[in-house]
Amino acid sequence: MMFNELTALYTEGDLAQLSSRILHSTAWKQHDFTAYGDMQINKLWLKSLEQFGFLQVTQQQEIQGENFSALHLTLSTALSGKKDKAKHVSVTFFFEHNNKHIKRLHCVVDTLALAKLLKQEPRVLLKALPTPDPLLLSQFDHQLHPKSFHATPNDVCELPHTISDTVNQWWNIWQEKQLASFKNIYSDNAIVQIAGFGSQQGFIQLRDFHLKIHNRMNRSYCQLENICIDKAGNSLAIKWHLDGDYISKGAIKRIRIPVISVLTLENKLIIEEQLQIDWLALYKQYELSYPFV
Amino acid sequence: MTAKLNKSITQVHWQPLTKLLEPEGDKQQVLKGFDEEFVDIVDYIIRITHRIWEQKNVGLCYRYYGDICPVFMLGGYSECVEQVVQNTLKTIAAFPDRSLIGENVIWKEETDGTYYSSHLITSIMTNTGNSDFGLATNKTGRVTTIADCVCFENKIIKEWLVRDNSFLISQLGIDLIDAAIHFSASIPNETFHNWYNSEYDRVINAKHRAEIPFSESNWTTNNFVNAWAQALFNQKQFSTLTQFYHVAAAHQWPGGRQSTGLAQISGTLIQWLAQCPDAKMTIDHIGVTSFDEDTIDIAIRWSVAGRFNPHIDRLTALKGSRFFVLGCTHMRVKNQKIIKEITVFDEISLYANMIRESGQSLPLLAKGS
Repeated sequence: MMFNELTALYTEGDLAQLSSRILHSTAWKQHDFTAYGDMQINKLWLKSLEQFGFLQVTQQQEIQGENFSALHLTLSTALSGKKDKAKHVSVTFFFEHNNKHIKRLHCVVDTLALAKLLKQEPRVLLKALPTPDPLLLSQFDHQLHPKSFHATPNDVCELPHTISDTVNQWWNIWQEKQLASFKNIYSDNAIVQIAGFGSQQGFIQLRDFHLKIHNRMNRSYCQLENICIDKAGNSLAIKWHLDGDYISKGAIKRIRIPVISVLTLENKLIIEEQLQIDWLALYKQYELSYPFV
Repeated sequence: MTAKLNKSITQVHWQPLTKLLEPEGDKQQVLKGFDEEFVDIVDYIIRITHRIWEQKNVGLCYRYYGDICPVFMLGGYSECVEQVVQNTLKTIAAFPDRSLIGENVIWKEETDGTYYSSHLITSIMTNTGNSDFGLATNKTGRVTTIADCVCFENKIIKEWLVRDNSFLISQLGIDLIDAAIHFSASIPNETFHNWYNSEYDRVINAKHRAEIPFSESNWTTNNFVNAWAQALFNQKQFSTLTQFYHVAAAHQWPGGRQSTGLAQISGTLIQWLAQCPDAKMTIDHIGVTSFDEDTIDIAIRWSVAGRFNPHIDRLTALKGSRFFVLGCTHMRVKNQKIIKEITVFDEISLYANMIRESGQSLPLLAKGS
């Protein structure tokens, strides 16, 4: 399956298998740069192999949907008895497919973790990333007027009833900033991993992050893009983005932060979440100062 | 949902290039006067594009273009196959590794025996030679093109060509207005002026206040598209977006305008139309093909005309200039709502035409303005 081929690319350098899944018209987006065609896609793969290839998979989550699937990998250095010293990088893929070929794929790399793994300053790694696609963000009315319509998870996919309420509450946390929902939908023991910030038990770190990121910007607005749900119905990946006015030294920039969230649920509670953001691609796209939050 | 659509014609979306170039199966359309090798009109478009551009058999234009073949572009007009050959060669020289990745072909069999195709193309190309936009930058960029062609007896006999050049030059590191100033120095031929003037006059007089009602029960593609143009572009009623777009629709417009959902799409349209507050839009051609069981693809060729209201300080001198756009849109529509839209027009030519017509000499940013 495609999950194996994606994994084999990074762990074994197996370009041939994955290439057989790529069409002439496949778009592979990584570091907010979209590559088309063998030449551009292969170049991205080879650079990734140089940076985080041939490591071991220490965590893997597969979400097999009908037309869209997602894969989250944590790749780690030496495992044998030196767990504390091991360095990790997580990579999340969200892709459109027909079980034979991949049409569009968005790969989000935790580049802050990658900088640590490579023992590089973030500004050094940032220079090595491809130039992101030009993005012209139009100003818009971000307010939730009584009769305006903003996408909710049920608009984007058919959620199994067992998780529907939890997923909608999860989205309300971001879209409507309904922080009280945290305690309703997260298990006390939930493992929450935020790109660049590592992993913690419980939702407190995520709630702090939520507040910091929204307070770092004015007029922030969250937009759902797509959702894929595993056939078993207990895990899903959500592709979304956060727009806002980033304020730095008195100047305002309109920015967009692409996010993939991977959720695992049990008994209507979130027991695991990965919130994946390519921070260095974001800094490069908008010439932001480090750190963001 | 709409008239019965032929689902046996080649669909590009999931096809590997090898299968597109060596189609299997029976001929699906009569294609009177076309070479026997082509199984349908999509196959014809995909294979001749590959042969001319990717295999660089520029001379095949003589085989696949009519001797007289008007090609309308916002940046110029060419009339015969000789010009098509010359322009193709010039582009390949400036961007020698240009790939043409066929993303979609939406087609229509017309009542006069011609076939109309709207070909959505993504190109990756490195600017190693000097081009209409300036000196070689040696940078690689991506660009979206839509080529609308009238095909008859194995030849393209008329074409409307739009390219998202503003997106391309931003990857090449060229300033949009600098590129427009540079491009405005080229003088189009008289036929272009005649076409531009007559099109402007036609579109500016569009009846923009008439209501075009449509409902779920009497939904047709033509009605939907005409109502889309009237409600959003002519009447600027942005709350009607909900009638046309899915709440999480993806929307790509020139220059890197990427939106998702109603709020962002509304912002994109408002910001763009504010450059031309009296804009009038006409729908000039509609094609529709099936995508899957409950999804259709619509290709629209349209025009917009009005007066320019500059949003960029450097263009203040152009206030009130004639603003004219030739545009093409591909929409994917599911359950009567747009789930994905790609709109293409050439912003560089749009500004270049106004600069040239104004007779103003605008300073280049590259030289310090």
